[in-house]
Amino acid sequence: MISPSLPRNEDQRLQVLYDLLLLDTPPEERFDRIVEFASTEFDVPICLISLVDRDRQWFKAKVGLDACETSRDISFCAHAILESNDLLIVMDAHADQRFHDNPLVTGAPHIRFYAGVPLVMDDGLAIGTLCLIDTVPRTLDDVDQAILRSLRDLLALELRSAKHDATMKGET
Amino acid sequence: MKILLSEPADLLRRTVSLTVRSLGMVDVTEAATYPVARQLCELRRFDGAVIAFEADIPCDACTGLALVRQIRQGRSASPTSIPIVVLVDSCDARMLDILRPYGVHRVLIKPFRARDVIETITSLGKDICAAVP
Repeated sequence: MISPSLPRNEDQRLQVLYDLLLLDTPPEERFDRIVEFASTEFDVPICLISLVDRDRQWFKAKVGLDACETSRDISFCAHAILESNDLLIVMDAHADQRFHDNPLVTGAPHIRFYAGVPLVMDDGLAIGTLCLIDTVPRTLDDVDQAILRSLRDLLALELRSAKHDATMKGET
Repeated sequence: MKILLSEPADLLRRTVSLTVRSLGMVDVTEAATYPVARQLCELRRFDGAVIAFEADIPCDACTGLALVRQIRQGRSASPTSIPIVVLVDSCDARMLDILRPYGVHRVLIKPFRARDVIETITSLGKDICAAVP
C-alpha cells in the first residue's frame, strides 16, 4: 500500500475545509440527495461525499457504508485530491500497487472499483471528493465521467452555499 | 442545435444539462416549471424538446401535454414538426393512444438514468442533423 502524500498547500486546504463548518455536522438533505442520485445513476453500492481532514476522511453524506470516517492514510480520497487530471479512477484495486493491500480492499467494504472527483473550492483547493465505490472491477466511459463531473459541479454549488452560510454565521 | 428540456426534478435536469453542455453536443435550455417552458417556447426557436409529464395519464389540465400541444399546434416559435421526447412515470396503451396524435418521437419511462436522457438528446441531435438537407 502507498499512503497518500500531502498536498503542497495542505495548511491552506485545511483552513478552507474548517471555514465551511461542515465537519462532524448532521446529515443534510441537499447533500444526501446527491449521493443517492449518483448511487442510482452509476448503479454502485457505495457513494460518498468525503471531506479530507488532517488525519481522517469524514463522510458528509453516504450511501452503502456504516462508517462515518476512516483514517487518512488508508483513504482513496486522499489520493484523489492530489489528482491534477481531475478524476481518479481505480478500475481494479487488486491490480493497483497503491491499494492492493489496503485494509479497505482486503477487508470491509472490500473496495475493487473507485472513482473520485475532487471538490475544488473557488481558491483551487480540494477539500474532499464525490466518489463512487464498487466491490467488483469496473470502469467509467467518457459520458459517465462527464456525468460524475456534473454532479461534482452541482455539489460544489451547494458547498459554496454552505460557505456563505458559515460566513453569515460568523458575522452574527 | 437547440433543445428545450422541461423537467421539474432539479438534480436530473441540472445533471443532464451540464453534462450535455460539457460534452459539447447540444445547446440545452432548461425549464424548471411549465410556465417557464411555455414562455420559452413562445419566444425561442428550438430544434427539439424533451418534456417531462407530471401525471400518469395526461388530461386537458396536464401541463406537459399542453406544452406538446402548444408546439404541435404552431403556438410556439419552433416548427410544428420538431422532434419531441416525453418523460413519463409510467406508460400503458391508454397513454400511447393519447400521445399518438402528437407524433411524439420517443417516450422514456421511469426509472431511467440521467445517462438515458443524455443519450436520447444526443440521438435527437444526430437525427436533426441528418434531416437537414
